[in-house]
Amino acid sequence: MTATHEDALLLREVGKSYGDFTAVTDVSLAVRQSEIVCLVGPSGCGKSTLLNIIAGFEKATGGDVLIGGRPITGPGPDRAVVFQQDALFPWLRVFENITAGVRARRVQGYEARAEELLRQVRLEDFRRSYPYQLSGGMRQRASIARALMSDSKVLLMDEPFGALDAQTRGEMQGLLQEIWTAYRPTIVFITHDIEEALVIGDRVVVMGASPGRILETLQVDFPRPRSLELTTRPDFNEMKRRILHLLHPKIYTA
Amino acid sequence: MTLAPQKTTDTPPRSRRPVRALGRVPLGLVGLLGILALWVIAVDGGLVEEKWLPGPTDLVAHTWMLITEGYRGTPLATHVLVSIRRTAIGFSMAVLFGIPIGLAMGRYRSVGALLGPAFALLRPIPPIAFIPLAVLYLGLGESSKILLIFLAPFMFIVLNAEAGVRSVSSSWIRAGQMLGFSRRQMFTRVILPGSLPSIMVGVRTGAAVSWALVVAAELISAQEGLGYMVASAGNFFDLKTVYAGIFLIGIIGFLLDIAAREVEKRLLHWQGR
Repeated sequence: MTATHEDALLLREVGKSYGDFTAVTDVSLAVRQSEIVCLVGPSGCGKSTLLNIIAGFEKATGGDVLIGGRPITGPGPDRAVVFQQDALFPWLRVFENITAGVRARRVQGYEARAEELLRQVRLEDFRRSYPYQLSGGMRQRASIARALMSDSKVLLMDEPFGALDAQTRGEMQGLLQEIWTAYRPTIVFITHDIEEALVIGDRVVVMGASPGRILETLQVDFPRPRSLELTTRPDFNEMKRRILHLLHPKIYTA
Repeated sequence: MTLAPQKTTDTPPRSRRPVRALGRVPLGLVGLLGILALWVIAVDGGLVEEKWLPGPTDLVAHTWMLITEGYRGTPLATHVLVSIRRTAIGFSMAVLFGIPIGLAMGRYRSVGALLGPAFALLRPIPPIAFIPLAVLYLGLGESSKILLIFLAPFMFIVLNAEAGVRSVSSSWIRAGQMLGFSRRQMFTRVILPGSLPSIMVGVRTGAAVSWALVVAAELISAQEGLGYMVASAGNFFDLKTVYAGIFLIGIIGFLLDIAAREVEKRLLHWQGR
């Protein structure tokens, strides 16, 4: 696989072992500019490890990770992360949380963008609230705004809606698509929810466990904007069936 | 089959002003009044001889006498202020040295490894056991008392500050990293506020302990202070002064705890408790 100028993120034969244990092996993946790639797989398939490697929190034991053609050296604002559980700073108000990064890096004139993002995630009335005063969904919306504030090359989302109830999750999936339409970010999205992956992703990368590896990559061509109604279409269910077979060959082989 | 009511899905939590608190205050009052009643019955009913246990009215009158005439020539206010001053100095020093040392132990593995075992060995020694050493090295003056008041809260504060740093959530650290925080910013903007709840536990416990220790410290041949007053009155079988002193120590300790809680509430309001 060769890097092209279009690839926002490129993984080449990335592997991660802890002693004798291989968590991830031989993962190669090119993510184009403004593409949404969803990684699905059972727990233990190394999808979170992979995301932590891309984010720079963990070091790969093999292969390279390139962002915009350059190898990563550690965590940084060019790769914003939305964590599974809210990793907002509880001692800061919503507005202060969202602008924590730009303030730390002494970026000038961030206020307008912060206001715009607050509106985009519908938290403009909560800018002075503390995280404990927000619901789970609102906190994740603030986390998304904080990540977008960095204006990074890649947005990394680690099961961001996993802890939310079904209805809120559906709303958040809609909101994420609105945000994508507005800013066209490149997104790597981790989930264990197959429907979520198919609703959100342009591509779905199906991963298997022991060792963690890519089983198959599926192109998802449903037109956007996608609503939850998509999940009732026969061709949607056909894709879902294929992924289920990949993930659980023993249980679902008919 | 009954349907469970639809759960509201994603609403912000309501502010939690407990209704319970209202129900508790009168019950606590009942408890206090009950003890007072038993006390009156025991003394006025002749169950206990008055020379062993002064009655409440007697005690109030005696306290007034201590305020106006003083104990052994020194006004009660002076005894109180001297004790508060000693506590304040010892406790402030414990905060001043304890927080940075604890933070350094939590932040730098080498510092933690260097000092951890020493603190683990010192911690179980009751501060009172240091009295002879303090007197031998520092004499009978102020410094030996202040050292004793300093030691125990210092231990609490160091250990809680260290634990606080270790308790800082790794997702906050990662969030700081991905936002591009420098090492210094990571410390001031993530680790310090993140460990503040634990630091405050140490500070509050330390405040209570340092006040309790003032009595022990003032047993070292003090001429002033509430601890001295109680100990000296005990020697002269002056039970009224002993009781008055004990009550005052209790009330001041109680007020100190209220103040510490108020500081904690202001610093940690973002916890939403």
